[in-house]
Amino acid sequence: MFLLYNVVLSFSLWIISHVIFSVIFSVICNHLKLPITHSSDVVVSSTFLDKIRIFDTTRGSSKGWIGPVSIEITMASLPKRIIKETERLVSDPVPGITATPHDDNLRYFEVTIEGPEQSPYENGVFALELFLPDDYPMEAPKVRFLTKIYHPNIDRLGRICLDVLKTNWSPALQIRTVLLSVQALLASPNPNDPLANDVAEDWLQHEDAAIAKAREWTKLYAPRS
Amino acid sequence: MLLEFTKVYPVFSWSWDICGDDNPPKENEGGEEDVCGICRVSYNGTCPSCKFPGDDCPLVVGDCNHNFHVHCIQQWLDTSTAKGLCPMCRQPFSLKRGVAINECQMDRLAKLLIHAQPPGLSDDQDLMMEQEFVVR
Repeated sequence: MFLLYNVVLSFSLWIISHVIFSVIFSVICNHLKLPITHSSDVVVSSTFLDKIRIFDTTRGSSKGWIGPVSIEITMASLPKRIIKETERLVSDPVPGITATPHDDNLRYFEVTIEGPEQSPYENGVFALELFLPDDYPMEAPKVRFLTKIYHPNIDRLGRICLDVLKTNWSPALQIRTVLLSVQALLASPNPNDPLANDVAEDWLQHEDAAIAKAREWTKLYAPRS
Repeated sequence: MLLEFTKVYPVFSWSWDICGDDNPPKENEGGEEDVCGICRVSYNGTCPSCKFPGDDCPLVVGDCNHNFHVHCIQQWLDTSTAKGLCPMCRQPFSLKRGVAINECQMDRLAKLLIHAQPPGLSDDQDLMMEQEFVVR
């Protein structure tokens, strides 16, 4: 009888302490603004967990807490597709291309593209920026050259004239395919569909001189460090 | 030996029937998981804006044999860039006849496609330049 009483007592003590601890835990979490998720449908790999957490705590706002246990946290959520694409860009990078998401904004990527071999941009490393608009993938990423480049389809502000970035965008395309297209554009400049008119004119009239100038600019502005 | 069943747990699984009556199921090529070409989530999962897979977030089968969550393809066809084309093969998108899961979506997508502009015969490059300056 005494034994049974003992068991019941210790069991109830265990329950009580469990409840107290969970309440304390959730209060602490609320104060630290840690996101408490009971079931998450987004699987985030450990590589990006840190970044996602930074994102949550800075962008997420905790809406007035009703009780210590029910906390509502709204997150500026990043679509699964963007997370997947970013992971793959890191785990399985495209040769000659790097794309790193910015710590503060996971939709903003710092990009480098190596100039294709046997093109005037050979041995150059070009910096670009890529931004995924809110409507991505229904809308194309915004891509711009940051490094100065002498190319008939890239103007002095770094804007790129490329069909897949405009009218021929398709949601089946991805960050990696877009960047590959940009790299291909470096390999085959198209002066007949110019964006930088002066460069295109130069290219059509004195091709050798234009290519030499593109090489010179590559050496000057896009040296491999 | 005598076996006695004390409990039985039935387990069910489901998947969209994307094959018409006359098409046998195709072998999965390349070993890649079957995902929606737009959101890259499994066919049997949901589009990014839905929570529960199944009837709330159905799949549709294109005439070109490309499949999408109906919400994904609707959103795409609703954009002006889409021009009514399939994102995967750029052929005019239409629903395949004789596929059961397509039937209840026919009307809605047909309405969307009426608004979509068929790809014009005008010079694409000129159009592109125009957009370049409008966008910026």
